[in-house]
Amino acid sequence: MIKSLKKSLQLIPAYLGILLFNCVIGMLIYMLYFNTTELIAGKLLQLFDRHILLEGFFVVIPVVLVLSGTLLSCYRIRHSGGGVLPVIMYSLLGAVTWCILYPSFIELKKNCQVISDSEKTALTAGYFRSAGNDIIYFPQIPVSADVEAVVINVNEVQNGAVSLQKINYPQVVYESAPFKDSLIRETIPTMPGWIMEGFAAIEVRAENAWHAGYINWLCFISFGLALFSVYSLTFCSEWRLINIIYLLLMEAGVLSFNLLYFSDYFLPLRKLSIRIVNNFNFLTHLDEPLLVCINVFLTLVFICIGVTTVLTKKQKNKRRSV
Amino acid sequence: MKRVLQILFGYIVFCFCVCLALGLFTGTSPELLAKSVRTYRLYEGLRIFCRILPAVTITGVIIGCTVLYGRHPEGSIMRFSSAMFRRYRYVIVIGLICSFILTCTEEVVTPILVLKQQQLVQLPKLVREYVRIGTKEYISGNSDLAFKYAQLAAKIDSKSDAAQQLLNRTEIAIKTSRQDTSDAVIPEVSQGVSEEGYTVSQLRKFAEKSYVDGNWFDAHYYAETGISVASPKDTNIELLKKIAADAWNKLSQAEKIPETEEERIYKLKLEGYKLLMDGDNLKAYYVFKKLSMQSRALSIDPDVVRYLKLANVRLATESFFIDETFNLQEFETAGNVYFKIQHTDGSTDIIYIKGITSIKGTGSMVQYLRGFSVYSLDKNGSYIRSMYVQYAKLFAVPVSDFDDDTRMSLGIDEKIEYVPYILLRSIDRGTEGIVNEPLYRYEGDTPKDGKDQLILPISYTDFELLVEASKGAEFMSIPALVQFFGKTVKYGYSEEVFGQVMLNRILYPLFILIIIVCSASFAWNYRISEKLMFKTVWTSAFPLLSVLLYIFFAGLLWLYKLFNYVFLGTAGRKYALLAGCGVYIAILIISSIVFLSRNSADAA
Repeated sequence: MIKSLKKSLQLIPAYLGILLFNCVIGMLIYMLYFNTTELIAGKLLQLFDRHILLEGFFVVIPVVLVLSGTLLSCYRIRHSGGGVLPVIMYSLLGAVTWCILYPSFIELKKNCQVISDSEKTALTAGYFRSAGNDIIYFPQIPVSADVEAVVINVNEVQNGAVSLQKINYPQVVYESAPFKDSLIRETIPTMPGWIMEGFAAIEVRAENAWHAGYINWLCFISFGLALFSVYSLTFCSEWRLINIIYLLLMEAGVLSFNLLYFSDYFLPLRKLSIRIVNNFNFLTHLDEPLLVCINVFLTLVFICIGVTTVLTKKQKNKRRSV
Repeated sequence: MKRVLQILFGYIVFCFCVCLALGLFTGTSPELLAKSVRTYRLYEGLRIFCRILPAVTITGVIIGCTVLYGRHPEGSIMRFSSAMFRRYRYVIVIGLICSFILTCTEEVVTPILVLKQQQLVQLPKLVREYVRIGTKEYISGNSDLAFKYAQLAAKIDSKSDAAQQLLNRTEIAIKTSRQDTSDAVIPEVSQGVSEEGYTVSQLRKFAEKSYVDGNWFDAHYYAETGISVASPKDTNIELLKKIAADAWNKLSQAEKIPETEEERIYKLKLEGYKLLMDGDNLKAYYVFKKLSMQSRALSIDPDVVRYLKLANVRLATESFFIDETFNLQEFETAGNVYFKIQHTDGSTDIIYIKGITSIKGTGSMVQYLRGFSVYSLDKNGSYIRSMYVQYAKLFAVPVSDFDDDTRMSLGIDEKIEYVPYILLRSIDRGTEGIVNEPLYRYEGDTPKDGKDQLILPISYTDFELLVEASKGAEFMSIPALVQFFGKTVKYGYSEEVFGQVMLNRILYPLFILIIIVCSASFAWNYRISEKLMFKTVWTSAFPLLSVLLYIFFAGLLWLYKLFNYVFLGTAGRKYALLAGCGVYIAILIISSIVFLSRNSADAA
């Protein structure tokens, strides 16, 4: 019992450590990535930026909170055992994450506004850059919107492939986004759009749900419930490596489904959701009722699998001991 | 270690087979020859395998180590135990093997596969192009050339109807023309005497007599006739040549109004010779070319042959023939090459080449530049002039050929050994007046004539590096990339980009080694329990682990590339590699300490 209590209490510092460590690492990586996007060929890379670091905090925290269940589950696989108390503690921490920490973060974000003081730095002269299908070369540092540049039209077959033209400088800057310089963009793979957009969509949904009232918030945290309940699958195998595989795959599945639910891939499902809501009046109070139902259903399935596995194992152990 | 390697390579072989099957039986192929479809699919399978190999390798190492450490965890009660040091030794060996394999895959195998696939995609186009050129040559009456093209097309695709048809048609045409030629040539071949029936020694006597009499035309004529009918080993030939040359000298001293055909020819020869002496090699070339094409006798006339050859050699330093550039586009080795040349006065030349075909000439490399443009700007970035030519010919010339004044006026650094010399004018081989000249434009639209040759004040090695850089830093060879890295800004390329790619590629083995050591630590933490029976059903989870690791590896690679920018940003160009090495070695040491500090308390 003491061992079980100790194991369960150990989860609190572990959880806080996981949050802190991942936040710091995430913020540093965000700052690094952001500073690289600001990098312009021929200029120095700025390594530290207080404003960006703070901005990173508000970007990274929701991601870390969403993934905290997965990270805590990994910790539990590594430091398994202890009976039912650590499981209860795990559930409590999950509840704290989605019922206290996430809403607190939303409130904090509302009150804090990060003003980025990044300067609008012009591109450097003397480099060849790709712009659309052309190659451009600024003989002078571009200072105005209509700037002259040597344009190499690679599709031009006759004379005139190279010419000095006025180009739309803001368009050039826009095309290289999120990087300031298209040269740098070519060497760093941008984050897959669906991940960035997916996380941004989750954040927007969270904020809307929180401001819309408790029922909407409860609907939203069905997503967190599904994520945290994947932990039940970690009892399935006796080899912890296999448990890790099950856990990460299922977490990825739940996360991807919730990220992509609002994309075109799930348009038929969303249409079906509208038809279902029309038939069942009580569902109209819920925000995205089908998504909520699927998340709750997944939670129940995971918990059932976990409980069944644990009970079967106990019975087996009993038979062995007899 | 043996067990880890068995599991690792067993799993790699399994994934290799799966990838080959995936490549062979799934996906769509571009337009290919029927015989190349299977090979292309095979390469596709191999490329898939190369792409997933890092994830597969890490999976193999993790599974192998979890099984090995689970079965034999003994001797690790304390941290930094000798058993852990022994295991660490094996981990490093496995890490080095994996680093070597993965680096070779990334640097050698993948580029070769990409190239092979590109070649296979090019084959149908090549067959079509050969058939098109062959048909064109066949219609023009060049059956021999057409036959060669048809042979090439049939060699690539023996089942091509178009190639076979062309081959048959050209074969028949060649046989017919050979028969005609042999009929026509037989009387000439049997000639050992002149048209008048004189032997060589008789002709020599006539020539000598005419020379003594001062009859220069006859002397030249008999001497020339003697030369034309004599065999190369004939002892009279040297004397005949001397008489012909002396007579020619005498003739060139006399200025007479031509009356006979011979006199007219001699007059033309004289004219050509004078043009050659005056340095007008182009006109001289056409005079002798015209003469040589007038009759068979003139085509083998020693003077015509000699002076035509001389004009040809001289012309080769001024211009090239248009027909050299026919059908070159299909065989281009580089495309869209651009760079800048900054002059000491602050002006800049922007060079753009649409396509380059490299041809190995006698002793040196010749490059044909398609769509060659030079766009010049002054130090304020204002337009000065531009030059465009459809085709140019480039070869390397030694700087030692120039005196110091010329070298300095051209802006060539004294350290440079060879510079690119570019011929901008191309001419027709047979017809005077058909010329492709560079089109110069100047500020204010005032047309002026520019030069027909251009010397780029850069080293020829740099030019070759620029050609390679046009393919992208990822596709350059590492030695070329290292060589080019210090020169990037000079030619308008980003030092950051090329430096980052260079670091990515050079530090990759170290990056893999770190991942392998970390994987071994992970494997220790999640090793199989000593008493647990291995279940076959678990093997079905390994591919899933590979999928997870594939995503994880992609994330790590992204971070790795990001960090390499930091090294460049903090340590600068000179020390970036050193800083990168230092940091990765430090990470390797930390991960090694983490591995060595594992003990049995990290229970399975």
